[in-house]
Amino acid sequence: MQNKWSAFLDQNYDVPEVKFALKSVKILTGTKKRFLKHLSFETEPAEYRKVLSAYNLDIQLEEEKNG
Amino acid sequence: MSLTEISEALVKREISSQEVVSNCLEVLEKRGSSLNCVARLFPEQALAEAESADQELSSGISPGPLHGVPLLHKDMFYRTGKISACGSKICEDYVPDVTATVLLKLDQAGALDIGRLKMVEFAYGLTGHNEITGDVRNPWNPEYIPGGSSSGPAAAVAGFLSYGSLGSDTGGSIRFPASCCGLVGMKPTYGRVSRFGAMPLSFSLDHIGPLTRTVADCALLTQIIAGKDTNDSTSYYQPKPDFLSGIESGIQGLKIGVPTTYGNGPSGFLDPLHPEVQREMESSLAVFRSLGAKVVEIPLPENFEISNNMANIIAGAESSSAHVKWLKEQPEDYGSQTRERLLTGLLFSAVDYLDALKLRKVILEDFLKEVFEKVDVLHAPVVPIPVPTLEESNIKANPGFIEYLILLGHFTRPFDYLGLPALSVPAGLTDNGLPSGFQLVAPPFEEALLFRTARAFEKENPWSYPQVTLD
Repeated sequence: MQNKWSAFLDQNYDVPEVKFALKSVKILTGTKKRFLKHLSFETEPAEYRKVLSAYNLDIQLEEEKNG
Repeated sequence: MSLTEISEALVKREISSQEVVSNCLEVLEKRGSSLNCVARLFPEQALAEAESADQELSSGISPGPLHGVPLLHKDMFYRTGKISACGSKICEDYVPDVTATVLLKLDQAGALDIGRLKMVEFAYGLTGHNEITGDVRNPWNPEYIPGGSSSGPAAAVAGFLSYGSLGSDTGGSIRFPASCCGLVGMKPTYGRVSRFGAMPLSFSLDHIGPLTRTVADCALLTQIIAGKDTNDSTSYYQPKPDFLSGIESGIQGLKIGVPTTYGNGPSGFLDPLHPEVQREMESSLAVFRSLGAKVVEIPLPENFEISNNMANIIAGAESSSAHVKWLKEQPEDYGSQTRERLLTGLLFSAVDYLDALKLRKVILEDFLKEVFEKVDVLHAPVVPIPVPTLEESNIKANPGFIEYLILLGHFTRPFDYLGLPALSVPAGLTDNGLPSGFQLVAPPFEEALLFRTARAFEKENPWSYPQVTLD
């Protein structure tokens, strides 16, 4: 599907919406490159949810520790 | 009357639910078509349930906080046996066999579900245009967009056709229309509110929350719909404080951050801001200062700059995955803009998608450390430009506007990506007479702090709505 659609896009490059789609994808995917070096080899997507849910617990523990 | 006021009046039996529902249906009949915001009504059921609600009160039953209050919601919340068309032709006859958890929670609170409101096709778009069901109009001026994708809820609540309404926010779809229509709109923390039984757009970014006319109404609805749900694996067991109990306690000493640059870089988060919107942002900050808050400038983490783009990759890939069957079998049944957005999503590779998901953890960690260790809440715009007209923001009529489309979500989408709670609050009017809002962003699960901060502002800066005088 992706290949078929890519071929369709290439054939219709001069259509404004298609041009915009291709440009968007290039911009969106290009910007991440300089930050990928901060990802460790072991990083998993699910770790995001741990960070989100642990934030308040971390604060509470810190406050308890500091009296 | 606000939602909390009508609820109190009903419990005190100053007015009956049947009177409220009849009046509501009459107003919907008169004004609903002018705003083009109503998808469908359930009048017979609404009146029968209102009669039951009145009988229950007469017999001394202990009422829920919304006993007998009629509400309408975005046309993407499923109820067994009722059509959920999701603003589309493809689902125009779709009758789900489940009921959304948020609707069940409202049922338990005593609310009456009396209809559905129009929306952007499959909730994919911020302007409010819909090629299939027609464009919803802004009650402040029908020539202007109401914002989307919760276009119907925003128009109906601002136009006094509903006391409040549930919407969804994947890239700003609650806060953006709330700002365009002068409403309070809450996007809660990711996982605070169950999405079970709501149409999915992008499961990693979808949030459900209310649009209302007052901060207290928003807190009340959020209180009712929040909580863990075993049917939604992304919902969290988190303590749920009473969002209303501390709402009047003020903001003396609160630290409010105003974002500046990304790290030490040259570009700033507020760069795309139109001068008229900037003027309203500065006015709102002056109000916060007068209330005893300390307003401080704060640089954002360098990597936050890509959060909008990463959110777009995730939304593109996930929404395309959800729609791939229909894209193959009946592409002509989509509106052209929705189809193009969904097809663009097929161009992202699995690696692009996973990188965007993995980077979320790193960016969130940096954001929590570099922002919320220094300030209590962040203040930011919602819509970068004055609300545009329906015509000038119609891509078909004005192809040049396509360049603005990504920009429109610049201030909202990053907080869907990070999952942080964000509350849109009316700030003032731009020169076209349309509302402009700011948003307050807090650390995870700190919705109560947002309501308290917004309520302090609302008391100092009361808001009024235009009289709807449509044909």
